[in-house]
Amino acid sequence: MPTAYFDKQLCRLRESLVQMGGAVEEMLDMALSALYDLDVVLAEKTIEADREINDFENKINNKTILLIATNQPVASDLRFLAGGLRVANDLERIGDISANLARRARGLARLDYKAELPPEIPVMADKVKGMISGTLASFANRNLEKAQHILDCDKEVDKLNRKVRQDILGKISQDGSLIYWGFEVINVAAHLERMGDHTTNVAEDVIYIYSGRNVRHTHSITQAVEEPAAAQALVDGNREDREDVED
Amino acid sequence: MVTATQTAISAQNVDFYYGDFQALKNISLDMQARKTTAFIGPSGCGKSTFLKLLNRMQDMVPGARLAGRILLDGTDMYAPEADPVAIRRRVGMVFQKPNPFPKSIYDNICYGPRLIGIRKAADLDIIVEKALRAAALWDEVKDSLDKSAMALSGGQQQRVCIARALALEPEVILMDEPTSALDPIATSKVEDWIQEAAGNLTIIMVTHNMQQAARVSDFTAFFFLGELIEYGPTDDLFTSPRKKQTENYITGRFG
Repeated sequence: MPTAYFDKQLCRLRESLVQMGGAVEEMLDMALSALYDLDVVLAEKTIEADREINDFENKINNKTILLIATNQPVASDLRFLAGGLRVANDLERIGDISANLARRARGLARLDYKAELPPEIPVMADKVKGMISGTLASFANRNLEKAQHILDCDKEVDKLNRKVRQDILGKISQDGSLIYWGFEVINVAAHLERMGDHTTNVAEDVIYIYSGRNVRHTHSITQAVEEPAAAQALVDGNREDREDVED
Repeated sequence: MVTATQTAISAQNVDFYYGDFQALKNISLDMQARKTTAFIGPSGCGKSTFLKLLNRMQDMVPGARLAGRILLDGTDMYAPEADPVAIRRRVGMVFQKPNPFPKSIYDNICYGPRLIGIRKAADLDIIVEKALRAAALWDEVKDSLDKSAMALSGGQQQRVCIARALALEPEVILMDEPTSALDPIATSKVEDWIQEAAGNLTIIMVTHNMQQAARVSDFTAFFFLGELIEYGPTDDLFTSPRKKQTENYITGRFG
């Protein structure tokens, strides 16, 4: 039977998740600054910051498991704890991808031959940042409408990703020496697109936690998008950059 | 036997009074055949009162009055021509505290069958083994059937009571907080039996242990102040209850 102590623990857990979200937002800001300014020092600092996010996830997971084991929660308490585990997991992934963005910044800074970032990249980044802060606010304020809105935003990010990829492939086909640059930029767009997906997951969890409705996999945005075959081949395997994730 | 209809017992607009006090208010509830239904709610909410109506255990309570209908497999069990003894044979009951008779295990199980005229030892042997197996007790007591049932552990005694109820091959078993007097190991044995029996037998139970309701029942009904607040599949009720009162009760934030 839940006690006042249990309620206090739930409150603390909610605060920890919001704090973790704030830390992820900061990390993404650092990664984007490193990208825009091609600042290798800041990129390294961003990669370092991922540890803090991983610690947050571990602490939240351990605390949640303990609360489930000791309180046998049901209904909204259970949905909060189960959903909170997934929120922490998706936030941690956004942290990983921020570190990957920083790696792209580092890679781009080291190139001798490069072009300007496509204008869509900052637009995508701003949209993703807006999605993340909106999702965290919907979680903190139990705002279902806001969470629902996030699900729609993700489509725009997907669209921009496709546009960047096509434009870059066009540029590379005209000037082969841009291949390394183009490869990094396509990955930057793919990273931002993945962040949008993870943020969407969090928004879906917020809806589940506060309403009990499961909207996972029923929303059209989760369906695969048709990819041009050539671009698909180039991007496959790099989309998540698992190989350079330092977990 | 329960026929094609999936409803074992149907309560329709049931009001129940102890004198001037209205203990149940307009309860309508279809309890599914061969499923386990749990009644939950705070003390005094009417869940035990309602359970006891399902095999006419309140008939002798002075000043008690029932309105509405309770159908057992489609037939009104409170109709003037209905025979309470025949109904209780079809709807067995297991109580909160194990209450074996001060007799041998064998005689406990045979008590009902003997009452209805079964005398042949060979027939009784078969009934005893079948009932004890069904109650998941056979392996533990098969070599000591002439031992007093009072000498068994609490969990074993409760399963003797279950076997005693099963010996008459009822369609429905009512259980009033069947494990509240048992330790955790004995409780898990009885819960195992409930889960094993599911699919063959209609079980309707009252429990104060919400985790038990969540674990063993297919459907849960939440009662409060004599009213049925919410009734539905247990999985839904414990993850996403529809009513705020249910949510507050099952999460322990009542009142």
